[in-house]
Amino acid sequence: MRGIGFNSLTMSLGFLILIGIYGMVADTATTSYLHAMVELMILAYSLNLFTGLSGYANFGHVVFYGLGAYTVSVSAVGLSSMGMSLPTPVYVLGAGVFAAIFALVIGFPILRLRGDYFAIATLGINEAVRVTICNTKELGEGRGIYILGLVPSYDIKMLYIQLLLVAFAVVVTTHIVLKTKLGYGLRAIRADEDVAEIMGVNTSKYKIMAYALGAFFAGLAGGVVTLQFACSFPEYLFIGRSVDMFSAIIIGGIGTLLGPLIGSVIFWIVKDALLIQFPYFHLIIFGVALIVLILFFPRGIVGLANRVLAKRGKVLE
Amino acid sequence: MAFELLAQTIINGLFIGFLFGLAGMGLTLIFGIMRILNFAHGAIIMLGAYTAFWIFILYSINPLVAILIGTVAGLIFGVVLYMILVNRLVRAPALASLLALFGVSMILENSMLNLWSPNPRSIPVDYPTISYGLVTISGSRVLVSIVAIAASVLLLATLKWTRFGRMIRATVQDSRAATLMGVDVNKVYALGFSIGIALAFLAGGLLALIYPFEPFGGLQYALYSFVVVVLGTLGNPAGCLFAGLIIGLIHSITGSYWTLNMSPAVAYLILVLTFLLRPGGIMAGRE
Repeated sequence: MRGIGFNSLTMSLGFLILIGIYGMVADTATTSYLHAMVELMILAYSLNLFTGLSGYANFGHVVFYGLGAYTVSVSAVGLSSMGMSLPTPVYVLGAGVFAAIFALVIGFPILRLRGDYFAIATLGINEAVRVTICNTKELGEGRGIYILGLVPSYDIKMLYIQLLLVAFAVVVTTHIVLKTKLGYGLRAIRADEDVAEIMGVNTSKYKIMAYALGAFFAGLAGGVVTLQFACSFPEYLFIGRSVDMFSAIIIGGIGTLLGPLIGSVIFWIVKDALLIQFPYFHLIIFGVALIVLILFFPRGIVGLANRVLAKRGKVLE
Repeated sequence: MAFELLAQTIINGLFIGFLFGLAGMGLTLIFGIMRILNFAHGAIIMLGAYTAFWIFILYSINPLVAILIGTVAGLIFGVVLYMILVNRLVRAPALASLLALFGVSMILENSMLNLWSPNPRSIPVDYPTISYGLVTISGSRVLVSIVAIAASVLLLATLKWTRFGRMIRATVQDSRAATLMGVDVNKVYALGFSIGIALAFLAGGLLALIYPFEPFGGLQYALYSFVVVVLGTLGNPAGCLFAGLIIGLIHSITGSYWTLNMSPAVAYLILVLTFLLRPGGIMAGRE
């Protein structure tokens, strides 16, 4: 390997620093464009931590993002009714922690399921939470909760820095996971869970760790977005959002360190271009592209690059 | 009054339950045979609804005939989809087949949206309501239930007594052993998948007689179908029909005594409880 993993890490972090500087000097429109791209990147990494490494199809990942968003808005409303307010990073951290706790609670039962059963269960939980929010008066029903003026004043550049810090954290976490027993265990589970278990991998512990870790970062992203838009909607839990995340990690290379980054940048630029060019047909084009990618390039761009690089004895992660 | 409401609720629930059961049957058949969860099930149900709707509107024929023609169209659609895509997914990992079918669902939903607008539609026919003692039931629900029961009985009888049915059941039990016994597994896959899609088209067409539908309306039916097939043991059509009735009853009771909006949440709660308490579904071990 000869320290090649370090190269992938420096490339990812270097790219984040570059778009960080660019976002700070650019006008606010560009900053919010990049803000949305980095948000997708974090979600892609958080999905990659569990689904990418273990191969478990989590179709309810947005539930953590949505719960993170609601954690911020509900706590902001609650605290302001008592005349209090907290610095923004505290809200964001709270969002991540709540999402991770929720993941631990639901993870114990549903991580016993495999393959299609797991996919159904995650989808079901996601929809159950969304429908419950839509029908709970205290959670604003379908209208959402608005927190304008209840949290410290709004500044897109400040939020962008916070989001970039989260992105840094998720990239470094992914790197660490890939290099430690957790990552090897998860990849063994993806290859064959029964064999992994027989070989001494503590499969249920590893699965729940990765599941909660992914939920934590998705919750953080949801928290920052709630601060950005000063509201949280049930729309945040719409499973259509999973399309973006899955597309990003499949384009880039599932279960890799560079993949979610490359994938989400390409996906975001292409999606924007297609949306402007073909406002009515872009999702059809995406559907076709998703199928073609899965059938013919299941390892994504990182996989393709590795086919070339392997001849020179190098590997990207 | 309280008793009347209860009786009405139960009758409504049972009648809608047959439709839920039928909607899940295509899904469970495909899963049983190919171990593929058809993630595009909801979009395909909606496509079935549109197909029946357009045949009915353009040729102004009896809606039931339109629905039956739509079902045959579904069979053809299933064969085409199998030839183009699904045959490549049979031996792929679960994640790959789920995502590819999710892609199919995106293509179908957005095509329907572009072709036929997001406006809700329904097949506009009025059947006389039937009153019997305490309860009143709309004629279309009775009709839908009769067709759903007939289709289910036909499917179960085919599986049980015909040569093709035995081939399907052999493939469900062990596809490799079935191949060794001379079953053309690829043919079984293609036909089984197409029948599953045809059943989804039939469910969609029948649904259009009772409820309005729109391009993205499939998601909720797909989710109900998932609950039904898991509760009724994945891959077991008879269990699926039974589970459909249970979910229909729960749907109706939630609607009468709480609010219909919460019905999906209650259904998913049952899904999670099924996974916890009886992961194999109610028909586990009763093949």
